[in-house]
Amino acid sequence: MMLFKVKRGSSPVSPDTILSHKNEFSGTLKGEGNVRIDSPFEGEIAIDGELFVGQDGRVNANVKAKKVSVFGEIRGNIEATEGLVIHNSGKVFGDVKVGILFVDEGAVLEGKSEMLKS
Amino acid sequence: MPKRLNDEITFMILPHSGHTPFSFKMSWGVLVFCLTILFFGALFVIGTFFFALSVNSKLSDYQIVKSQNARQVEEIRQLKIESESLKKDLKRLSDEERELRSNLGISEPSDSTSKAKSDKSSSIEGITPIGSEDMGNLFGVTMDPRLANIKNELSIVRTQLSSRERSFLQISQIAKRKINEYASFPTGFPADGVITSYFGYRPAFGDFHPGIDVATSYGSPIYATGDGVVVFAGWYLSGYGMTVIIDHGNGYETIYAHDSAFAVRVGQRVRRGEVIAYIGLTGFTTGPHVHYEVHHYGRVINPMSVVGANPAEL
Repeated sequence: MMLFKVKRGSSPVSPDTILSHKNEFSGTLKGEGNVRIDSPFEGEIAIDGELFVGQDGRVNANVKAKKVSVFGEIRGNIEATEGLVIHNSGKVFGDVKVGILFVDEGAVLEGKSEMLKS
Repeated sequence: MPKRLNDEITFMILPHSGHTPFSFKMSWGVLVFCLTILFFGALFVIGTFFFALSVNSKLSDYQIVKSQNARQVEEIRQLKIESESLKKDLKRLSDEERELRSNLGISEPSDSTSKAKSDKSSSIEGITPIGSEDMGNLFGVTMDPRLANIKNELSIVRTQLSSRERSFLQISQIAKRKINEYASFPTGFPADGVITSYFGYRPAFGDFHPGIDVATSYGSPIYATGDGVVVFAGWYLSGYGMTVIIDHGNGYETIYAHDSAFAVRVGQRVRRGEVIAYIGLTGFTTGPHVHYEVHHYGRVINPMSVVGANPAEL
């Protein structure tokens, strides 16, 4: 069911970089590739591709990406030029600046939201 | 492709649902093995599918053949009934022919060999079936025994039929000849009158009467008693007076005496019942009558023994 719902927005692409749940990261993440994070992460994210936060992902950083999908948790401000999708298990604490915003049933979004297009 | 099948690779599964990813490793050999198994498995499934399809079509073929067979069995049964009735008809025909032959006084067919042959083929079942079986083997077809049986019977019927046909042809020819022959037998009566004197010894006259006397009025017609040729028409011996003699063939001659006038000439062909002369009083006679004699191979016989007789029995 969830798959269909995700698909209705736009399906996440295959990641070029995977941060596994068995490790922890801190620092700055930059680049063009798509990133999937299944681990705790602390620092700064600014990528041209898509960011995918798995259900085990605990991101504590400001995020700047083309598109962000959240199954886990992001603490920090998010700027997604294309869109932000918070799935039903996803939690976002922070202000968001998005092209398109999709918040699934049961998802958490605490913070201001601002639409880029308006 | 790797150099060694022992080299290992890792597969990582990343659920797009966001669930925890997991990975596993596998050597190329195992992968190739699994892919091979998968390939042949798929091949097997596809093969089974098409096999099932073909079996299905064969099954439907089988159903068609089965229904055809049922129909043919029925047809064979009908054929058998038909052939039985044919045989019965033939038997009846045969019986009637035998009766006809005995009535006509015709002996059994001279070509008794053919009859014997047909009898043989009907009595010995083995003759014709062998032929038909040979035919079946030739075309690589095993013949239904019932069909072979019917074929056998039909061939018997055919043989018998041709034999009967020959026989009937013969009968018809003989009958035609016999009809001509019978017409020439002097079985008719010479005049429409009464018999005043019979054949044989006559105590009253003390003589042997060689014919019969049929009396009627003067000038009444005298008829030929059978087909024949007039061999004499004139004054015959002393007492006969004007006489006509007809040769009927088969050794028969008839004499009509005491005529008053002739209606035929010597050499003329006459038919039975044709007027040949008229009642008269020529020769020694006590009144108008025709004296009628029948000769068989020159011997005088009792005319009453041939008058009205069945020519076949003469």
